Amino acid sequence: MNRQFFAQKYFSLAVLCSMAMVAFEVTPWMAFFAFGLLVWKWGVEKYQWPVLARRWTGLLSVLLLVQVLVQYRTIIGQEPSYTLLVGLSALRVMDYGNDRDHKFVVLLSFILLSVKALFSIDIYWIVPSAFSFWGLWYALLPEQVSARGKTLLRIFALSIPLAVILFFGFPRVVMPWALSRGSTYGQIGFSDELNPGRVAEIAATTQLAFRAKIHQLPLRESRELYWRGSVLSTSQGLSWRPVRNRLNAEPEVPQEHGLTYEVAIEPTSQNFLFTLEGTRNVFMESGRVFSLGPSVFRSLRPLVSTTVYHGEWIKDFVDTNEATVRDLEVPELTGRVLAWVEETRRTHHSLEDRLQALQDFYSKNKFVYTIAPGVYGANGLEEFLFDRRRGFCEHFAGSYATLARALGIPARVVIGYQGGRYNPLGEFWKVAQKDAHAWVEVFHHGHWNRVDPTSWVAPLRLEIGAEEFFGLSEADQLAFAKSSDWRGKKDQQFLLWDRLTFFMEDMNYRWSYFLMDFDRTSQDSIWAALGKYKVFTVIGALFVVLLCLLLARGIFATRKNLSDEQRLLLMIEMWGRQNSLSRAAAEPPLQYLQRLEDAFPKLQQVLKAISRYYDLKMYAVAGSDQSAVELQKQWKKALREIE
Amino acid sequence: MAFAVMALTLFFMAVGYANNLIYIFFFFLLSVAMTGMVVTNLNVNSVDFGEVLGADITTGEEGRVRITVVNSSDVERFNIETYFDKTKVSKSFSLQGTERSVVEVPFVADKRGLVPLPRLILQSRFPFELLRAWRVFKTPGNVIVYPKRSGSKIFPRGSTDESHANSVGLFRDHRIYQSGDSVRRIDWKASARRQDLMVKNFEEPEKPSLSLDWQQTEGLGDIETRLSQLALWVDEAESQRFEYSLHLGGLILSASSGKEHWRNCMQSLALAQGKDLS
Repeated sequence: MNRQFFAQKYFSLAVLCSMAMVAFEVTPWMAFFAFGLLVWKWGVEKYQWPVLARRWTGLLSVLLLVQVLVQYRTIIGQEPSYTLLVGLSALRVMDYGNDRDHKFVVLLSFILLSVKALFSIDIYWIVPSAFSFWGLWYALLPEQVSARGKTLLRIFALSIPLAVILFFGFPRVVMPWALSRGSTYGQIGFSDELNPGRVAEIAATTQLAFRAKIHQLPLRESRELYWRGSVLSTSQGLSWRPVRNRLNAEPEVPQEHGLTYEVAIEPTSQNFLFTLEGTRNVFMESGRVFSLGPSVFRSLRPLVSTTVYHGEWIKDFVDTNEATVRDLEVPELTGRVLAWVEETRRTHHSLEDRLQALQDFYSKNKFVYTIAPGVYGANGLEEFLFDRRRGFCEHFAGSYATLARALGIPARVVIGYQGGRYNPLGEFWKVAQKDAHAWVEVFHHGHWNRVDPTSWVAPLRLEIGAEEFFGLSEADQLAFAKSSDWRGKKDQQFLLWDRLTFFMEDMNYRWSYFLMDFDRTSQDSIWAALGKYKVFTVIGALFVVLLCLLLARGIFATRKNLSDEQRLLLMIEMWGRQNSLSRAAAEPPLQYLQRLEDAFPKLQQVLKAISRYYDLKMYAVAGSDQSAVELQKQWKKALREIE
Repeated sequence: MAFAVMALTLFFMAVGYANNLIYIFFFFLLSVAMTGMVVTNLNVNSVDFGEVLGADITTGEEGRVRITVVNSSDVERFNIETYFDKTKVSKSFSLQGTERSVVEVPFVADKRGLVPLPRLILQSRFPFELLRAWRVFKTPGNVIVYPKRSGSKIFPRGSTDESHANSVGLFRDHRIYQSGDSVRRIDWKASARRQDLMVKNFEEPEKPSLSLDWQQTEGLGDIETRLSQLALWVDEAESQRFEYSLHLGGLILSASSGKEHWRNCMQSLALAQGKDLS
């Protein structure tokens, strides 16, 4: 049978939807190529554009393979294989024309749908995925079925119990060769170094970094949340590097019981585990963790899938690790920087004075906090501090720590995230890449103290969070950066849109958390719980079975409502068939009953009664002195007698 | 098969990437396929074979056996197909609740006579055309297979009863001469004009009657060849709308025409035994 792709509305939309979802994730040229082919196919079917012959699509398939090989130097691996898959799918749609192509495209689209799940498990994709899934099955149903949608929904409803049992009951095998999602996906670009522009680059992306549930902790404000990623101790002016091979000894912490919080981090292909200041320990269910110093933790293996870890947090925690000579090392200072340092050293003698001088330097000079400060050259420190004075948090932190060291104050830079957006519905903090931040720690009064130069330059950024701050226009950012009361207090009324966003984020969080947290341990606990509540389990199972039977009975939408007389006739017809006396195709029922009477004289009496009943009810539309149930009983009795 | 390969791919993706979303997707896909399997089975299970109504089947040619099928449930059954073992599948059909329907099933027989039909299979791939469910009826019944039609299309000499050839009917038109037409009906003038032998066509009553007889095939040798020749003449006579009679040994089918008469003649030829003919 000849088929047209775009003539089948739901089918074509389902295929396009599944292709588009994966096309977002692969190389843009492939997405455009696929889109172009689909437009062509549309033109072929709608406006009789020239058809691309199968030999040309075959040739294009080979060229596509070659192009992918040239671009990626391999065909194995996710990005090349899925890029190729999108292209080949579009070519198959181009060839689409018969039943065989139809089935092939359906199966290919099922694979595309599952490929999408590798890129994102967000709940937002569930709606288009579910639509595609439905549309593809819908396309497999024969067209002559009158209520295709309804039939399919019933089949789906019947399939749910088995799917649920399989999902919860099927043993999760952990493959030793578990595949990685590849280094290019989900990578946040967070690195162990601070180069001018690097943090701004991360912050310019809109991706989610992690979500955290910290409701046990007495931290309520966005400005209190400093998520530590890495501590950098080697100054190169504006740039900073971590000290290699330096594992800080664990600080001595009071042996009090800590409060726990939970973080669900997105895949990064890196080892960073972001923790709040004051985190003593980190536990991860699926992997080992090691510490690089106070509140700095790493996973032993790169995080290739969304991962959950728990932090143990101590109130009033202080890092008392002594500063060393290396915490005072600075690169050679020149020009105006050297002059300022020498002048400040000369005029400010105590440590407090010098810290104040530093604060004054940043708050009194007209520094501008911006995500696009431009590029700084080799003499970047001087240019930044005295000429352009435009920077992002990393510029302020890097330069502050270098100046502090030059003034004889041990200092280091910490990079990570600051703040986040609180979701009151799900009671979690959503920390995005926009919240990437850098700040400073200085050693003084016997321990390390946090200093955030950004809070002097743009307090509003810390007050309202990065997401909202960067949502302002550039002019507003400049004008209101220093006014921390620019917006109302936290207890303001949320807009409907905010509530909707919170709701969706909460749903997404719960969904993602369920998906990533469900493993063998969860399975065991579910079965254990079912075993514990045996009665409820049995009742529940019976209920599901009953529901399935009811659905199965009415699987087809065109079920007829038979009248009593029709039911009676049907019963007799079935008996007749078993006794080699079928009703002919167009034989009137009364005539058939008469024929039965002639053939089986012993049944004559009851058959006459049934004929009369049928005649009255069906044709005369009148009442009868006998009921169908009564006649049915008589009929069965008569049958028993003749047997 | 392709579905199995696709499902296996998804399974390995789910296990390999330890991705619960793909697990959900895979298990739901599998469940829908399993439910589909149950539905396919239900769809076929309540469809019964009724009886063989008859067939016009000629030896060596594909014919259609008319059978009745019955939907014994009160819900509609979709995309049912039926076929005799090792032959082509019928067109798919649907049956309303409790509907009884006549279906034509392709069948090819290699010998004439009363032939037992092979196993009849009712099948369906509804709803998703991924799996097939079927029911087998081992002895559906017998069917009369007509002799193969072969030999000469020209009617035998003397088969035309000239007494019937009259021109009582009104002249209608001319047509090209066909074998069996009386020479007297040739319109020579018209033939000369058209460079082709033309005969006068009259209204129905003047159509001559053909008398087909076993004896007319005497020179052809074996019984089967002779029966084949007679079958061809009967067929030709019917298609040319002649009235024709058939004398087959002691059996005489008097002159008539129409589908029923044709079927009687063909059935007589199909069931003819050598000893009855001589």
